[in-house]
Parts: sequence; structure tokens; C-alpha cells
Amino acid sequence: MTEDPKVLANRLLQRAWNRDGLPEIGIGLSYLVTAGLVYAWQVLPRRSPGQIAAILTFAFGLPIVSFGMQPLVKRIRSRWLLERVGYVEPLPPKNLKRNNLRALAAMAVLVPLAFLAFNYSERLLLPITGMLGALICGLVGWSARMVRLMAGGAIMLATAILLAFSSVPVMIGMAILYGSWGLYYLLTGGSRVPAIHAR
Amino acid sequence: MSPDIQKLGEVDRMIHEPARLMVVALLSAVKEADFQYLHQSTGLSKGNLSVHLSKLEEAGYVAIEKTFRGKYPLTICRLTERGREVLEDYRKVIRAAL
Repeated sequence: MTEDPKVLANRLLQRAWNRDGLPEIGIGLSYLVTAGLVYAWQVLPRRSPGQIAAILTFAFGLPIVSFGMQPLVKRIRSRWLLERVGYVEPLPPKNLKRNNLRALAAMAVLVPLAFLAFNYSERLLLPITGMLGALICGLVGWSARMVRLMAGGAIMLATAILLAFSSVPVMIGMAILYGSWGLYYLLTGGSRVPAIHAR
Repeated sequence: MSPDIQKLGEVDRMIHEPARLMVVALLSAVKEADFQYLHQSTGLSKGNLSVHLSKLEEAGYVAIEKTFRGKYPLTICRLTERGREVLEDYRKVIRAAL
């Protein structure tokens, strides 16, 4: 036996979650919106209504979109795609409390580190964001054995490093970074749509 | 002969069959899944999958519920507690022996 059947089944479940490209389309759209908001924040006149709206949307709208993405994907799938992609409901998470504590511990380490690095040099924000994004995409992509997710992480890291060494202002660089990442996932997610439609 | 090897002769043949083992392993990782998901994930033909699901249901390892989601008919399958226990025993025997 090369691998535990449960590991294989979990991998299939993760692949099933991304089977129709909807989660990637959702992530892609939300990153494009993030890029637009960061860009608007930088280029609009200080304290103008547009800039204030961009900052407020960034601070309050994006978290709502992030939390609402999973239920939205499930709802769209259940309403229009069930016949083509099938229905599967994951097991309820077993160690939710422990996982939340781990996430909090990781944040407690990473946030001060990012803050210190940002204080040391603003430009470090770009490679740090790229590395974190690449790490998350790499882990998710590896556990599901999905090359397009891992490639997204690699593209983000490469873009971040290129931007860090360029003369582009840091926050404009962040907008470009999120924009390119969003565009990539929008395209990879969108590329699944014809295949699902053909079923 | 090692007792672990001898135990291989006692594995549950209901889930030892490859197609049924695929179905049971898939269902062990989820709360429930419909026929279409199992069909796509296992690559089995619909007829073949249907036969194996019926056998697993008869053995009490899988519970099958026919329902509707809007106008779309859903055949929802889930592993029973008995099914989970049997799969766990099967894994232990195979791991110990191989």
C-alpha cells in the first residue's frame, strides 16, 4: 500500500471542491477587487469621498466577501451545477478549536514579524506578501495535487520579487501583485467552465 | 506463518473488492455524497456503481437516501457507523500484514 485510502479520499474531496473552478473564480474576483481598492486608495486625492469609500470597502467589505465566498460557491453549485458536478458534503471539522488556536499562534508570530520587516523597509512588504501567498497556495495545491494552484503561488512569488526590485511604489506594487494573482485565478477557474458545461 | 499474515484470510470480502473499497474509502472522508460524485470520482460505470452500492447497502455499510434538490433527483450515500468500523478493521489488518 503506497498511501492511506483516507488520504487519497481527502485529496479527491479537495479536488472536488475545486472541480468546477468556482472557488478560483471567486478568489480571482476578490483579489481583483482588492487590487482596485488598493490602487484607488493610492491614486485618489487624500480624504476625498472616493478614497474614504475605497478604504472603508477594503476594511469592512473584503472580510465579508471572504467569509461569504464559501457559502456563495455552495449555493451557486447547488442551484445550477449539481447535475454536472455532483454533490458532496465534507465531514464536520474534528479539531476546530485546536486548528483555530494554531492559526492564532501562527498569526501571533507572523504579524509582528511582518510589522518589523515593514518598519525596516517598506519594500519588504511585497516579497513577504508573495511568500505567504505562495506558501498557502503551495500547501493547498500540494495537498490536492493540483498544479494550477501551486503554479499560482509560484507566479505570485515571482511577481512579488520582481516588483520589490523595481522602482514601482510599494502600494502600487501591491495593487499589481493582487491584480496579477486575481487575473491568474480568474483565468484558471474560468478555464474549467467549458469542461463542466460539456458534461 | 505470522499471525498478521494469517489475518489477511479473514478480511471482510464485502469491502475487499476493489470497486467497493474505492466507494467505501471515498465515503469515509465525507459526511455524504451523491451518486454523481461517486461516479466521477471512482470512474466506475453507472451500472457497475449501482450494483456495488446496492451490495454495500444490503450489508449495512452504506445508507442510501433518494431525495430531490429542486427538480434534480439526488441519490445520497453515506457510510454507516458499521461501515466505518469495518473499514477501520480492514485498514488495521492490511497495515499489520503488509
